[in-house]
Amino acid sequence: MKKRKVKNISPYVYILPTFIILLLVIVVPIIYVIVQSFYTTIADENVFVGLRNYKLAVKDELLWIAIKNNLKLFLCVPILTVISLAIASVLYNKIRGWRFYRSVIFIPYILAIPVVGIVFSYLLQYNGVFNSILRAAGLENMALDWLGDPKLAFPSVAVVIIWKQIGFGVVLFLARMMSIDRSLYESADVDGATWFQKFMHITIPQTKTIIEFYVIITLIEMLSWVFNFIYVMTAGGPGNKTLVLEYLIYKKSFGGGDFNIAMAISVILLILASILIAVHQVVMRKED
Amino acid sequence: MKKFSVVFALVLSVSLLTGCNKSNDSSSSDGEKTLTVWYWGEQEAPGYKAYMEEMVKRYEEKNKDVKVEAVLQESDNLYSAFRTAEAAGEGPDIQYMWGGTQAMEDVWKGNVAPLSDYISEEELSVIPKASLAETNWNGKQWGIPAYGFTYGIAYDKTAMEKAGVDPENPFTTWDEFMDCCKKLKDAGITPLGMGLKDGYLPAWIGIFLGQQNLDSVNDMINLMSGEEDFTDQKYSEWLDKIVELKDAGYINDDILSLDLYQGQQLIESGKAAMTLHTQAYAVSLEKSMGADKIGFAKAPVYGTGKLAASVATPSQVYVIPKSAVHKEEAADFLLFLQEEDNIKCLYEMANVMMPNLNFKEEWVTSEIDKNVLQWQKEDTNFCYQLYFAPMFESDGLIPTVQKMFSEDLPAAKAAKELGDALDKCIEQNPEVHEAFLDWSVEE
Amino acid sequence: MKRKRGRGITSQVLMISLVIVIIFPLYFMTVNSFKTHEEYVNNMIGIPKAFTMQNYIDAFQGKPFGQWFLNSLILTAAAAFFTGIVALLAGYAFAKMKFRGRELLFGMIVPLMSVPPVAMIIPQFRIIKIMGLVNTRISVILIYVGIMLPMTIYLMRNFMKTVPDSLLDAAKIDGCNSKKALLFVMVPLSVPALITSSLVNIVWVWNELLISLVFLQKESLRTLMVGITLFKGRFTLNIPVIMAGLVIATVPIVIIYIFAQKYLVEGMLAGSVKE
Repeated sequence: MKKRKVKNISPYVYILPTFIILLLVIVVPIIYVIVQSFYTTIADENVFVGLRNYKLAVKDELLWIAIKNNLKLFLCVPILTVISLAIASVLYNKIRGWRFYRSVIFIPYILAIPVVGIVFSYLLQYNGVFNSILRAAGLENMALDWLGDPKLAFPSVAVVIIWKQIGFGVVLFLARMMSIDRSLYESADVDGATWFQKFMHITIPQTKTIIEFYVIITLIEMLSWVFNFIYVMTAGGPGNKTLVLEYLIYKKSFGGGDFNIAMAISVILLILASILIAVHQVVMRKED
Repeated sequence: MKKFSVVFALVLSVSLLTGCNKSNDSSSSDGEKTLTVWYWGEQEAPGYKAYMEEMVKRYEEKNKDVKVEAVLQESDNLYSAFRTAEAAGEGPDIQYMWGGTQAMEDVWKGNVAPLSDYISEEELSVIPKASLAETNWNGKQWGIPAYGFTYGIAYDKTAMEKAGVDPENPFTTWDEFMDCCKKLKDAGITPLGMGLKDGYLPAWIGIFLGQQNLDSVNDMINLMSGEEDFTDQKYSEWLDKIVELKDAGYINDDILSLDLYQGQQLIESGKAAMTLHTQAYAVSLEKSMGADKIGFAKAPVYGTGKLAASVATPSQVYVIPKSAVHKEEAADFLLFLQEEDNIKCLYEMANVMMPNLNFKEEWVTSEIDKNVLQWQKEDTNFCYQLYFAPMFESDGLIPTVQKMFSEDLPAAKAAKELGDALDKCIEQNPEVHEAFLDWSVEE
Repeated sequence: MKRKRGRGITSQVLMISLVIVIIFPLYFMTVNSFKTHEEYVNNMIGIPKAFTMQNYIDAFQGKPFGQWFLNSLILTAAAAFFTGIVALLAGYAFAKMKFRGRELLFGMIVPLMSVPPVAMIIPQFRIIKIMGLVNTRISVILIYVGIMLPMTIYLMRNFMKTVPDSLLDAAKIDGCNSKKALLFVMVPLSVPALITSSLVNIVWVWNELLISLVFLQKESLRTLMVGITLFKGRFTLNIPVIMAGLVIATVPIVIIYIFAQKYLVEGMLAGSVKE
C-alpha cells in the first residue's frame, strides 16, 4: 500500500523541475504578454483599450508582409529535408571519403550566425566577391545585387540559412541510417529491389521519427529562431522585403512607438505557432 | 529517485540564492555608492569610450565614496536594454539617448526623471539655449547634452582636383553640386558614396535635403502632425532631388548592399569622392589622411525656405531614468562632465564639441572644425531628424527610401507612402503624439 | 559492377562540389585575414602574396576575446547541461510512467517550444528582477533552459517511447526501482537523443544575441556574439582585420568540434534501439 502511494507521486516529482522553470520563464511571461496586449501605457499608467492593439496590428500591412515571409521561409523545410536525406543516403553507401565529407558538411552548423552573416554580406555585395567572380567569367548580366534587389534579397537569405543548417540534417539522418539493421537491405537485395525502392521502403520508414523531429525543429527555427539571420544580414530591408514576424516584434517593442502593439503581434504569432503544432499533433495521431 | 530530485531542487535553489547575494552585493555595500552609466558614442565618435573611462577615473578620484560603472552599449540595444530594464524599474542611473524625439519619446512614456529637479537653472546656464530646447518640455529640462556634432559633406580633395573642381570651395548651390558631380563622373570617379542597407541613411539624407523648404520648426510640426500633406511640393521636393541624383548615376551602384558606415568608408578607400558625414568623423580622417586630402562642405542649397541654408548641429543627450537609485549623484556626475577641463578632454579624445559656453575656440586646431565653428555662428541650427514622429523613421522613411532605389519608386509615390506611414504612426500612438505636439510648439 | 562505379563517380562529383560550396566562405574568411588591405582590394580570392599577421594584432587590440569566449562557454555549457538533466527526468515520466494528466500536461508543453524568445524579454526581465537576479549569469541560464526545455523534452519523450518496455521490466525484475531503471537502463539508451538535443541547444545558446545583450549589463559578462557584432559596425574599413576577428571567434569552436566529433557521431549512434 505504502509503496503504491510513492509510485503515484513520483511521476510528478520527475516533472516538477520542468514545471517550475517553464512557469517562470515561459508561462507567466506569456500571460503577461496576453494581458498587456489589451492595454496601453500612457505616462507610466496602464489603460485598458480592449482590442485596439489588435485592430491596429491587423490594419498594418507590415504584419501581413511578415507573415507572408515566414510562410515563405517554411518552404526551406522540405528543401532542407530532401537535400539532407539525399546527401545522407549517398554518404550511407560509404563512398570513398565519406567521413571527411560528413565532417565538412557539418561545419557551417556550428559557426556563429554573425560570422556567417558578415562573411556572406561581403560575398554577396553588389561589388562583392561572388559578383567579381561572375564578372571575371564574362557573366556580367548574372552579377546581380543579391541582398539589395527586392526579388533576390529574400531568396538570398533563404539560401544562406540552408547553407548553415544543412549539415545538421545530414549528420542526424546519417546517424539514424547507420543504426538500421543491414539485414533489411540484404534481404531486399535478394528480392532484387532497386536503390530507390530500398530508399522508399526501408530508409524512410526506419528514419521516420528522426525526420519528424527534424521537420519540427526546422519549422520552429523558421518561425521563431530566425531573428539573428535577418538582424545581421538585411535588417528587414530592402523596403521590408525580408521582414519576418520576430523582427517586426523586435522593432515594435524597442524601436519606438507603442510596445503594446508588439504584444498583440506576439499573441498573433503564438496563435500561428499553436495552429502549426496542433496540425502536427493531429497528423501524428492519425498515423498512429 | 525522490532523493535525487530533492538534491537537484536544492542545487537549483542554492545556485539561485547565491546569485541573489551577488547582485545585492554590487548595488550597495557599506556606504559606497555605485553609479551606473549606460552609454553609446564610440561608433560615431571614435575615442568616446576612452574619454568616458578617463571621466570615470577623474570622478572617482574626486569622490572617493562613489564608484562609477560605465557600460558601452551596442547601437541596436541602446534602447532595447534601457526600455526593458526601465519597464522593470531596474534601469541605470544615467542613460545616453539620441537627440530630439528619440529622447523625448521616453520622457513622454514616463521613463525619465526631470533633470531640472536635480540641476539648477544657473548650473544649466553654461549650455546654449538652443541645445537645451531640444529636450525641454512641459516647463522642465529632461536631458543634458553629451556632445554635439555637425552634419556635412566630406569630400576627397584630390578627386575634386582631378575632376577640375576647386577643392577648397566645391559647391554651394544645388546646380553647382550637380555640375561638380558631373565633372567627377566624367573623370571616372563615383561622385557620392552611400550605404542604405541598415537603414540609418534616409534620415541623414533628410537632414541634408529635407529641411530646405521649411521656414521654421512649426512647418515641421505641421507636417508631422498630419496637418500638412507630404505630397505638397514644399515637403516632398527633396525626394525629387534623390531621384535626380540616382537617375544621373551620381551614387555608387552598390548602395543597397552597404551599411551606412560602409558607404561612408568609400571615400577613404578612394571609391567615391563625397559622402554624408559628421564633422567628428571627418576630423578624424583629416588627422589621419591630412588636411590637404579631406574637405568638409555644407549641404548644397536648392530650397527656398528660411531654413534653406541651415546647418544641423544636434546633440546627443544624457537623461536620468525615473527608476534611477542615485539621482542626486547622477546629476552631479553629469555636471562634472560639463566642467571646462572635461569638455576639453572630450574634444581632444573624441573629436566632438560640447555645446557649452566654456568651450574655447583656441583649442581647435583642425581646419574642418574651424570652418564648422564659423557655420555654427552664421547659420541657423536646425535638424530635420529631431522632429520625426515616433515610428515615422522605421515604418515610413527607411522602407520608402530603400524602395526608391530597389524598386525605382517615383518621388510622387514615395511622398504618398511617407504620408500614409505618418497617418499610421499618428493612429498607433495618439497619446505620444499629443505630447509631441506640445513639445514642439513651445519654441 | 560497372554501373555502380559510374554512380560512385557521380556521387564523388556531387560531394566535391558540395564541399567547395561549403568551404568557400570559410576559405574566403581565412585567406583574407592574412592579406594587407591593399592586396585584398586587388586580389579578393587568391592566396596572399605577402603573408601578414598584423590583422590579428589589430583585431585583438582592446578586445578581451578570451573573456568573451569564456563567458559564452559558461553560459552554453551550464544551460545545455541543466536542460539535459531536467528534460531527461520529464521525458522519462512522460514516456514510461502512467499518471493522471500525462497526455494533457505533455500536450501543454509541446506548443511552448514555438514561442519566440523576442516576445517575452520584457516580462522575463520583470521576473528576474523579482527573483533578485538582475545582471547575473544565472538569470540568463535560467531563461535559456526554459526556452530549450519544451523541444528537448519532446525529443526525449518520443525517443524513450521507442525503448521496449520489456527492457525496463527486465530491470525491474532484477530489483531496480524506477530511479535505478532510469539511471542504468534509460540514460545509457537515451544518449543519442541527449546528444542530438544538446547539439541543437548548444548551437542555439552559442548564437543567442538578444537576451544576453539585454540581460547582461556588465562589460565583464559580455559574450562572444556581442563581441563579434562589434565587427559589423564602424569598427574598421579594413576588411582583412574584420576577417581576422571572425577567424579568432571561429577557431576555438572548430577545434572543439574536431575533438568532439568522434564522440558526437558515436554518441548519436550508440545504443540506438534496433527495431
